[in-house]
Amino acid sequence: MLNKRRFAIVSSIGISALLTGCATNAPQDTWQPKGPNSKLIDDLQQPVFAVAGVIGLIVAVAVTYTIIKYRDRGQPIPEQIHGKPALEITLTIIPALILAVVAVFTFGAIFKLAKTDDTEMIINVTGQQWWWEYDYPVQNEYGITQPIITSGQLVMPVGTKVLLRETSRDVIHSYWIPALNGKRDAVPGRVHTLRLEADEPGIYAGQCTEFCGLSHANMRMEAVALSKEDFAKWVANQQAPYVSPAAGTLAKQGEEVFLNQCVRCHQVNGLTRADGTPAIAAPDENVWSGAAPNLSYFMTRNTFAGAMFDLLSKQCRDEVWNAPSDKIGAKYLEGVTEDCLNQKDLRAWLRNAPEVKPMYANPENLAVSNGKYRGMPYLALSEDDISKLVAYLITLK
Amino acid sequence: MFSTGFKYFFGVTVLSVVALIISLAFFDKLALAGVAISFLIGVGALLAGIAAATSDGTTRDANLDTTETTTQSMWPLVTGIGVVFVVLGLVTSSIVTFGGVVVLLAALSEWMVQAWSERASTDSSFNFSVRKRLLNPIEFPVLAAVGLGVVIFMFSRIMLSVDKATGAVLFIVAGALVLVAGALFAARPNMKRSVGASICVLGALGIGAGGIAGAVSGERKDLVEAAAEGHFTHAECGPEKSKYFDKGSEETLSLRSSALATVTYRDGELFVNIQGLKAEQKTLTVPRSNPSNIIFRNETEGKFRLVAHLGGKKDATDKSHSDETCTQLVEFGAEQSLTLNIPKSSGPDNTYYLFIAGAEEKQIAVVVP
Amino acid sequence: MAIIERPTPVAPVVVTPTETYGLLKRPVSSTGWRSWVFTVDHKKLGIMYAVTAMFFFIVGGIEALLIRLQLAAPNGKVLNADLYNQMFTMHATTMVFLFVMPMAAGFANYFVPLQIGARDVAFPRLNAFGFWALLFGGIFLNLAWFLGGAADGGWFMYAPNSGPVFSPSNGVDFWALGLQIAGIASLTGAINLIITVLNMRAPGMSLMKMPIFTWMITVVQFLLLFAVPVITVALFLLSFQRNFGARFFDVAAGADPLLWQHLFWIFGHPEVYILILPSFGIISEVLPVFSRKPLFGYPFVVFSGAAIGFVGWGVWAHHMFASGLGPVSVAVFSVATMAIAVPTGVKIINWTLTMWGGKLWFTTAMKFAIGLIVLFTVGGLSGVTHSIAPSDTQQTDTYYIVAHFHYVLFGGAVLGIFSGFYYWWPKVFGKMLNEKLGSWNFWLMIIGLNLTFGPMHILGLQGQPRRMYQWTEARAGEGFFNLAFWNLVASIGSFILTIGILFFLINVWVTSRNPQKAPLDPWNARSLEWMTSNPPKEHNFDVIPTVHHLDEFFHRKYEEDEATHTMKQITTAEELIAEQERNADKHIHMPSPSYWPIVLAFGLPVITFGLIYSYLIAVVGGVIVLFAAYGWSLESSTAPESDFENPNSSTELVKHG
Repeated sequence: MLNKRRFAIVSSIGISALLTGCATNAPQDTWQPKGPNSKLIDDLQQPVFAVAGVIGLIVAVAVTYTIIKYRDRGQPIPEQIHGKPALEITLTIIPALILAVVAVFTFGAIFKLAKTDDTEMIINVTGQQWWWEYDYPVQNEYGITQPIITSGQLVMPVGTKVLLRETSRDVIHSYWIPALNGKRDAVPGRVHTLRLEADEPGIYAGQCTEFCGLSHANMRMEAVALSKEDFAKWVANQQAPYVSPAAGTLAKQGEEVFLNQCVRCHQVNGLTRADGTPAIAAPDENVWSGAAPNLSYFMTRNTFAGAMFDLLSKQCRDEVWNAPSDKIGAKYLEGVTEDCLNQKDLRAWLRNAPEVKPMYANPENLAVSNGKYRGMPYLALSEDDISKLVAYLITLK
Repeated sequence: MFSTGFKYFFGVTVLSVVALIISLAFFDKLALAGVAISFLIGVGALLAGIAAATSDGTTRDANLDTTETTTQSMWPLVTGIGVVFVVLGLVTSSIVTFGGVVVLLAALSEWMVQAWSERASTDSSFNFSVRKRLLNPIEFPVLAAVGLGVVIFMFSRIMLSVDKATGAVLFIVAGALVLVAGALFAARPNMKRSVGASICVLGALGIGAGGIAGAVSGERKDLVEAAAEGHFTHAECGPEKSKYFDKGSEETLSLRSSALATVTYRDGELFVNIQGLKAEQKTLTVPRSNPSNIIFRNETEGKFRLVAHLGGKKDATDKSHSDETCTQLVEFGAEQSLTLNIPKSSGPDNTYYLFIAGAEEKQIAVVVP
Repeated sequence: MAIIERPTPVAPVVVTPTETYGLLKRPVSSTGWRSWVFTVDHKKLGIMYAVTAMFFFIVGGIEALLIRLQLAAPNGKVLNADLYNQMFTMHATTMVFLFVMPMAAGFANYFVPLQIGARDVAFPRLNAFGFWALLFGGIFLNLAWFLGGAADGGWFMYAPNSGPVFSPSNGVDFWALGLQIAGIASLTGAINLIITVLNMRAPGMSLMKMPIFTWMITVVQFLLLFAVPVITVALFLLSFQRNFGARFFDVAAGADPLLWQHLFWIFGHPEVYILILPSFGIISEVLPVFSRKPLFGYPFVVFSGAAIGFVGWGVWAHHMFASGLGPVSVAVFSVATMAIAVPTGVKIINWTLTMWGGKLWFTTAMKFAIGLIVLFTVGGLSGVTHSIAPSDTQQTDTYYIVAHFHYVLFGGAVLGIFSGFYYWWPKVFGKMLNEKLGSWNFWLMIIGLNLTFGPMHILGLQGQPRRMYQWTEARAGEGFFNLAFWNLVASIGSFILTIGILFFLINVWVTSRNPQKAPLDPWNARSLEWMTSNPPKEHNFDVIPTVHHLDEFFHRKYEEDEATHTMKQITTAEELIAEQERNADKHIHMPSPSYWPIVLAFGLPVITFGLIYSYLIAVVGGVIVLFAAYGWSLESSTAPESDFENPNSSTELVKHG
């Protein structure tokens, strides 16, 4: 019986110790808030965890004590007590009171986190199987004179109350950057809001948390918080005019491949066809959910394919992600240079996307979706074309 | 083995098989008729099997002919009514004929089973139990379904004819009456059957009378008008006279959580409010390929319509390429929602904007990134 | 209710029908497989429920092992994404609908009539039908594995991801229709048990003298009665959407996909209490027996159970704190969720105080019960942490939630069920499970379950979401104790847990080969089910007891010493039961076996199969159902006594006068 007792103690102490003691800087740690919203949640939950731990310990100790004290030592069968109502009522009221106090603070936090009238910037977030699209409506005070559209990585200024307005094009997704706030579902047909604010520049990891089908596990995202100056630079770059590669280069050939293949779904703002007409993508004709990531300024992002893969090679990625907070903005704005490009994953993706990321892109199973793909299909590009495309994509920055 | 009942059901089965073959031979599709006849075959075979197995319906008494008695029967009467309905339906409407055929079929089968069960034996109570055992499993569910259907139908007639406020009161009164009756039954478990029955009959009569009265007086005026207007489908942006559109879009639960923006026409100025942005905007960003709800609110004296221009060339001479959707004419102080779904991103060749019909210079640019 | 009058044999009797009804000859075997397949005996059905549940427990367990195997290392390759999604969907569905619920139904079927001193349930044939419907529904659900893939939308099956475009295989159809059949079983069972408990208690047994297990089961049946219709409606909407082009959850048609979530969780949250309350009932029987004290605060435990039953209806949206309900709803449901923690805490306190001052006997059943108190507390407290809605937005859909509900359901429901196995095994099979193997079983399960689900708290708080077929090193953190480590620990734990459960199966096998019979009252028990032979006779009690106390059986054996208030024994169980046999009732009405429940239940999956593949098959199913319904209603309520030729009848009847 000794075992039992020891185990009860060890397990309860152990569990609470593990909970608090083993923070290993996991990128999505919920106990390391980096912004006022997540701090609000953290300040609320830490005392609750502590009280819960203490109560758990009391129960474990009480049970253990009872087990030791009243084990069968040959004592007579005890009096058949049916209860002590006063004691029980007391023991009912105490937890009720504790919870009442907690409830008061919970109320405050719920309404603070739901406020939408004090935010300073809005970003529309649209979920789709299996990536996130961000568009920045025109907001002149941030230099956004024409809407910016990007995907995978949300770029935002620090110290600014950002309001995300989430929706979805197909199934329910959930937007979650643990360091900045809790999650909020992106539900088709509805617009849900989520407050984000980062105290310091940094890259904060997140993940779609509402089960959304085959590649749910691969639907990641990051929030990149930049200092206000760096953010202004980023905004300016995102509105820079499109520059076509110089004639005769590999990249120029890549642009042709892009116009032949990719532009059916992927838009590059400012890209024109040979006859000078703008190349407008028509993803709604090819993709069930109606959109594909806009690839303008592609190389300013660090990730692709729903942030499943890095655009940066391992070494360059670490340099950016591990940069100190005052350097990270500059590092990030460098974008992806040719040396830093993660050629392996990008080429594998162009070669056969459904092989590296599970998607319902098998042409044989498209009867239910009227022949439209979900996710990027296998395009049967030649190795030559892939090289050309990579050379072209590297110019998009 | 070959009891009377078995022969009858066997006959039904064989005829159904023939019918199935005919239907297969003369009609291309199996469809509903085929499934229905197959069901009939199954049921016939099943009943034949039961009849054979239980030997129900076999004469048990050799002196059958001498002691046969006939009980009262309502089925000839019901059959007659069915025939009348069938004939009546031929000159009025097919639904009456259909009802008549159903009554006819039900009456004839009841009549047959009754007639046959009366010859089952000399023991009339045994005969009665034979009839009950064969027909009750069908009669009870059918009667219950019909009864429930009638109550629901009658109640719906009442509710559709009275106005909204009265409807709410009626609901409360009806609920209270059911509660009172239930409480009465529970409190007096030994109550005479007749008392209970008369309460139920009273209730049924009340609903029936109310239903008939409601059906006669017709649906309430606004429902009739709204139905005539077809207010759920207002695709064109031409003139209309509708009174029935959602005047408080922001108040409805589903829109409150799904409106992308509120467009307001106030004192001759058109602007848009976007949740999260304090200033009034002149540009609205709409995500591509995603149905987005916007709410139009009119705060200018008069009636105005918000039109969304969704691409295509729009010039004075040729409006045929213009792709538009719009709200109805919205009175001062009222609102209406408009759903935009724009699959192509905007560019120099396809610009989108919202404007007030008749005042085209009042515009809000719609940008689809 | 088919009731026939028949003499009470002492030994099993082979009875043969003397008059045939042609095809519809009534089954009368009391031995052999026919005596099981056509039985309407609540005890046999209880055993069959439990065996079925155990089978699905193993199926669900294998699914869980595959999941843990896949997640043991980053970028797991054991399963592909599609298969993984099917695996976790079916793991949850199987464990909830095909293991815990049927197991609770098994315990309820077997022990509720015994505990209230009844001879059977109110509607024995309906009872048999419920079991067969559940079995066929469960098989039907799992058929999807072999017919193009099982359901892959998660057991919560959120719209619109469950729609035909997003889940193109027939898996979701099988899921929806299979649960529909299982739901029919739950509903008939609920009605049957409620009526049994309300109408068939032994004389003198008022509701507040009813054993606590029966009380909890009654609360559960009421929850089922009101919760199952909700999921039935939701499943109909889903089926119509998938098979007939309805658009209940289609945004383009103006629908709101959150409708499904509300419907599902209005069912889904009471369902949680449906799963846990039977185990609460079991350990509320076990703890007093092995503490030699009555349950502390019996009325408090009863009312807290009922309170959980009521408040359980007002907390469903706490599953939806992140889905954008708006702050007012979130605040209300947050407080309601905190409120439900109070009656749950009352139970923990009462169980601890039941042991306090007792004379504790640590049998395996008792160990499992104590394990439940401690581990359920852990699950309950982590539950309180996410009743705080803002905190829940960080935790929901992460492994923290997985840890929470496995502590509640494994640490709670499953440990309670195992406690029940060890406690009631001698009652059901007349043999004692081996205590030594039981000890291995218990400790390996406890260690395994803490190793499996304990680390999930950390995984979740450090941001690993649920339902991911792979996790990546990039999000696992640094150092040795990173998420990779805890994932591996959890996977190792799951295998230790499996070995623990294997010890139970070994124990069953060893016990079945052990010829030694169990004593009549091995635990010195307290409630009525022990006041009869092991296993009980078909008619349960030779004499229906008249009840004067809560814990009637104990108070017939013991008497209070006026001076010391301790209890002294006045008679033994053997004497009490022998006395009953001497005064046995002469004629006992017992229901006769019937073909129709199984035939009727068999028609249901045929119909649903037809709905997926061809309506003609559905017609066949419809005919089978109609056929069986006819047979059922034509079956005379009293079979002629001449049907049963009792070889012992002459002597028996003479003996009994």
